[in-house]
Amino acid sequence: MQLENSFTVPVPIDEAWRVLLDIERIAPCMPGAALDSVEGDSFTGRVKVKLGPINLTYQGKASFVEKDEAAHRAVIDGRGKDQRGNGTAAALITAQLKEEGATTRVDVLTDLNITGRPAQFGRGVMTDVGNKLLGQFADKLATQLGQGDQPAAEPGPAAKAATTAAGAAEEVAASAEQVPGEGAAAKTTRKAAGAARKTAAAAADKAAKPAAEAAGPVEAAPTTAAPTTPAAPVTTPAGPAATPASTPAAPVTPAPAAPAASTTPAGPAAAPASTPARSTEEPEPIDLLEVAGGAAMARYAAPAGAAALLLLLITLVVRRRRRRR
Amino acid sequence: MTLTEEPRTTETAQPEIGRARRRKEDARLITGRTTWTDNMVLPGMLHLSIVRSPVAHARIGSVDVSAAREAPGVVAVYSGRDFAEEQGSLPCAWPVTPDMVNPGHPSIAVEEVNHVGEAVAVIVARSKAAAADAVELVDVDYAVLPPVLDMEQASTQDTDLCHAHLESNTSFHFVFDAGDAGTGGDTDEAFSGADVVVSRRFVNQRLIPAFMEPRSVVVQPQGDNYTMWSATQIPHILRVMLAMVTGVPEHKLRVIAPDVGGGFGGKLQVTPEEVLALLVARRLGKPVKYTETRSESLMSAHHGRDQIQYVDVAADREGNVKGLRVRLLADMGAYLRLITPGTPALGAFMYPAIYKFPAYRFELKGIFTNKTPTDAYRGAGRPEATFAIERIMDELAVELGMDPLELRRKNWIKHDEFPFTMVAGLEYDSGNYEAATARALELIGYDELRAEQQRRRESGDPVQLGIGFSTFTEMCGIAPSRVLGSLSFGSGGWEHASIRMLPTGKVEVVTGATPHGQGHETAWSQLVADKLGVPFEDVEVLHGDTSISPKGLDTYGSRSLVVGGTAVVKAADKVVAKARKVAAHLLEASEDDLEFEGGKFSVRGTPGTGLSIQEVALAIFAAHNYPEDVEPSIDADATFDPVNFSFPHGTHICAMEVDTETGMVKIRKYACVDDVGTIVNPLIVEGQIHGGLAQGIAQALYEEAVYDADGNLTTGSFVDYLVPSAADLPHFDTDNTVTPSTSNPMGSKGVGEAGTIASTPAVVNAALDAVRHLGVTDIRMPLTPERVWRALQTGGDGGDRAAAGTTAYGGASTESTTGVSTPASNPGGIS
Amino acid sequence: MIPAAFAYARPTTVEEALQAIADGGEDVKVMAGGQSLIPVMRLRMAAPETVVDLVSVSEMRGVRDDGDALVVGAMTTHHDVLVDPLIAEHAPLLVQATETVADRQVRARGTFGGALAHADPAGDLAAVALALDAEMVIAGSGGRRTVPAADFFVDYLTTCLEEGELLVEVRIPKLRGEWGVRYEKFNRVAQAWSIVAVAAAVRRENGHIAEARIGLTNMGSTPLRAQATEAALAGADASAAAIAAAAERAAEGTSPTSDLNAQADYREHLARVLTRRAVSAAAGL
Repeated sequence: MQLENSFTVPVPIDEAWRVLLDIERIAPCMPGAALDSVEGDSFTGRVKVKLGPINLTYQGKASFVEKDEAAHRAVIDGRGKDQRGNGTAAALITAQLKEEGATTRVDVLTDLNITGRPAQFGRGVMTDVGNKLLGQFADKLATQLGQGDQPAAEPGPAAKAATTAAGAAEEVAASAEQVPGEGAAAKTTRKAAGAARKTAAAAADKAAKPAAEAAGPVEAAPTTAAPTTPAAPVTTPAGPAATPASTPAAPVTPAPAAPAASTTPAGPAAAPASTPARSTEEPEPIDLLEVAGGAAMARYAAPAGAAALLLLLITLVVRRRRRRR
Repeated sequence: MTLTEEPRTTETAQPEIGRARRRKEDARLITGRTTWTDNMVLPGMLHLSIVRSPVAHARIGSVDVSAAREAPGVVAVYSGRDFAEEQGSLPCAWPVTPDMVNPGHPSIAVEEVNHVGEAVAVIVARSKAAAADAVELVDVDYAVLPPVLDMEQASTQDTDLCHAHLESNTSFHFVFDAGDAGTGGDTDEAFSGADVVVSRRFVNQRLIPAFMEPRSVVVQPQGDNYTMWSATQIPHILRVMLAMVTGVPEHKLRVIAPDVGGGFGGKLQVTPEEVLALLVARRLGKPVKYTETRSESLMSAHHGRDQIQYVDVAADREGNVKGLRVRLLADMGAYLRLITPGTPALGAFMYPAIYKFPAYRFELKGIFTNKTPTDAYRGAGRPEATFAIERIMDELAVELGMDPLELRRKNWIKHDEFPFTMVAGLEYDSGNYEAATARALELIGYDELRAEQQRRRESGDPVQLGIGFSTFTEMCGIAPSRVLGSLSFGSGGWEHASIRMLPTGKVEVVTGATPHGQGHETAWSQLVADKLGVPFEDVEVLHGDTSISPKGLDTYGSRSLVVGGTAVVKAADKVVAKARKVAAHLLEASEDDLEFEGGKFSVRGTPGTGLSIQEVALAIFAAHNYPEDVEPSIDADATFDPVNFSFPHGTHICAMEVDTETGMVKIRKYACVDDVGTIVNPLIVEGQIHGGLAQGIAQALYEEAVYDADGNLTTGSFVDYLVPSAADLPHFDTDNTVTPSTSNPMGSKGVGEAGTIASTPAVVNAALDAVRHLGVTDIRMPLTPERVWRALQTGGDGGDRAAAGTTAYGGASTESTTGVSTPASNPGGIS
Repeated sequence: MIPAAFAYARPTTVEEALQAIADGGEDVKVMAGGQSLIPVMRLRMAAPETVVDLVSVSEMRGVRDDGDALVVGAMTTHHDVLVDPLIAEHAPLLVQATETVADRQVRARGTFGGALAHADPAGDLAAVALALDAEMVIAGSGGRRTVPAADFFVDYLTTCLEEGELLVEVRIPKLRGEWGVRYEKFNRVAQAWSIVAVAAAVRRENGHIAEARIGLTNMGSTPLRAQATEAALAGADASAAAIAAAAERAAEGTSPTSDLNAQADYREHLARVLTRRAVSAAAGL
């Protein structure tokens, strides 16, 4: 089936293009995805999809099969197999960028093929799932591209605070992931940053929830590398995210709801202490409740939510470490 | 021995033939308390599960069974490479043309897969659960290839190939031309000179036989002997074929069909699973069992029908038909199974049906697609033919402005014209279309329905009424063996029976027919009870086991009564003849002076003396006193080869309501009068008609196997593959006329498939009759409410059904700004 | 097929059930009647590690009168709904819809709450719950909360139930005044899911339609209310013309899917026709 998603991002086309080619930034845009490994233009991982009682995990590989800089067109070929033999999923995702002054329009066209058990039903269960996955992918991709090379979060209206805050944390982590160098520290930093960014993405999703549910189980965006001690330097609640160690990235001044930026306890600041492990955990399923709850996000992005967020993120970190085998 | 004064138990003078006997087999079949193949448990038995391809067309990269091998309870895991040398190719027993292309049919895929559901690996485990669990652990790499799915596209030159090693997707091109055969005139002439030509394209959709009992097979090795139990319609044919394919010597192979829960042609097959079970049992030296799940059954047991039909009929202004031309594309699926190419060819001679066409030409192309192979399904070629002709006769009637029944009447064979050799060369033995039609019109209350139709039309009622006819005949009993030979059919058409007279007076009838719900045990008991004069309860019918019934050609094609029953009757005649000799000797009379009545031999003119045939049986068992020149036995057997097909016929009338607001159609009344010759058991006949009607109506209204653009079977469960239940079907008003067949001693004709063959066009014709005046010219089967509605809205035939994955189905589009979700990007499948 | 192996818990109280769910790990699944879960498990499209079976939680069964509402235990089977005198009196729309659910065997085990929690938009009961403005009582480790039906159904197969929560009861406000009801279901074969269905409840007053509640089955990823039609009917004549005009708006705000049984435009058409029929019947025309 053919799925189309379009969005516009407030960055120039070349910047958007660069981010588009950055596997480590865009692969995790696929909800419920866990990145296992990256090699050149290819990456392997898992996508776990939960829809009511149905619970499927696709394991596979995706690669850039086309990167046309002149035309600003990239094509990603992703193929996965269900771990319980329920069939395969293949997606050919074509992203076309178009310059519109200082902004860029992105058209994402996906050719999605599902085989096996989910395809054997005339009600098209997997089409609904496909729609959601690609819609979310597009939204997250938009967020990524919208932040360009450098994380540059602006203070947004309170309504978008939670998203932006987490987005800010994402940016911090994203920029940390740009840390150059092949040394262990740099690698660790990058991986930890990857973890932090994903956690922040999860936090963005979580931001919609009423406070009471803050202690709920973890959703979405799993982590790769190990965050370390929660006792690592925490920036002031009102302050910006601490810059990751040894990164030249600019400091961030996110919105007042920035306590979310306290992702950093989990983050690169303490990075050197731990050895990153390849993700061996099960990816968290995307909870389509979250997906659907988007509209409710605005309502709940209150400062109270932000405080809960802080608590949540610490909990996240602690739980992650405890749950690791 | 004649001293007892017990009254003879054949107390009723009423003959068995024609009697509505309750069936002997029903108690165990309906309660299920019997041995179905899956009930079998053998010591040390292992369980098989099969890893099946989820993709329609791909090269197999690697099959990694290492994890599966380690799984608890797993004894062995095999991939195609493990059996590549010994598996051979599944047999196709009907190469319809000399240059038919057969790509070869592995039981387990080695290099590539060609349809969803094809076996890729086999797991052997100690329990069914362990075998099922290990399926998930087999990792197969598929390099996906484009699937070939559309027949019209596939039959062109420049297109993807289903089988890379073949030159095209066409398996064969079969032609029957009455002009060339000398049985009729030339169609080109007939058409060029005709006043009226009507041409149509019909789609006869793919169906799934959907028998109630899923397929199951158990194989037990004993030294180098093998016993196979299988839920099959054809144990005898299976035995021969397995021997040929696997090399297991035929005399060391025993095949048993225990009670089988329905087949409908779907179990007329040599299946990959049966072959694999035998190969695995041979390799491991242990008993194995495989039972499929329903999902597997719908996906990988063979499918039925699937034709695109181009039909042209030529006539003069008065409605006399002048010529018929049929061109078919028949979907073989990915492989040729047992009679895959022959199924559409079986209809070749039936398109002219009951009409006196002077000229006829039939052309058929078999096309490979990446779908499950097709093969026999109730009617096998004849429902498709009847659908095409009965539909086009209605179209011709509309074109000519004639009443559809009058058009039929004008052209059909009159009952005093029988026997009639029709334009395809078949000699119809007997029939009376006038009588059946008159009775059917009465049964349905035709005049009132027409009046109601008129009222509803005039008032513009949102619910319209239509009446549709189907006046059909069909050729059943498969055929005389020589005819089959001339058609390149792989086997003969005979049937065998033997009768053993047991010393205590009971009778064992061994038949080569293999019932799977038809009630042969009852009907054969009735035949024998009548012939031998023994009580119905004293007859036991044995079948289905190649060691017990060593000779036969099994059950399909409405052949069992006509061919198998005749063999039983002829064997019984021989028994009586032998018994007469012995009785004459014991009664010290000449054979000519003996009368045989009510099971008893008596000397003419001497009342009070006599011997029952059961007493003769005891006497010959003891053999103390019997004629010199005979063997001490009155048992006999017979092998009967029919001299002709049998030609049942009937008139079916359907009255249909169409709700023009929603497109929902509902059968208001259904009446049919079928002539199946002499009726042995009216309950069985009625049951067969009812079941046949259910499946024929199902094709018209409910069932369709739908594949999406990737080759997935999207109707993979009964949620989507709609088999109607009694709740969905109307009351059937049935009756029979009896015009005996001249080609067997009972005068019977086949009935098993008649209901299915006749009903589909009656239903569709009725729906069209209801809404033609609103501009509808055709509606695709099945007549889903949506298709009917669309035909009413926009003309056309309602179109394809959207299946997931096709562009018709569509996905969502979202548009968002500044990278943040907006209401427009709310996912939800908006197309 | 055979489901993958799983651990099985069978609590007898709501407290025990919540505990069993919490103990069940990440891949725990709650089972009510199992009529949707078991097929999915047999197809191995789900393989929960633990199944918590609520069949023995008797406090979740039964129907009681709570003054201005009926309270129906979530584990009340469809069969029990059909024979319950309170529901027959105060929520006949629910009876009509439940009669159309599957077949007798399914109705013997399938439950009202289970069907609602499963949230299949093609299921018949969700639209009825929505039309009757039912309230869902949810129990979690933090206590109970009540959610109106409109907020309960969030998406396809998705409700607002968090992990670790249970739907324990459904409050159905009694309809006051002179109401007529009708569940109009459109399906191809008996026992099948609705292609589209309409649950209509209409309050009549002096020959007018004072109020109408219209729930739509299978017109989107959740059950929906035909709000435009409801608005058009409020205060309208109880006449065929008025009803027909209002029913023309039944598909507004809906987003039906296209599938093997129907494409979206046909579903929209059906919604209009069935709404007209259901409202007419409910209005006594």
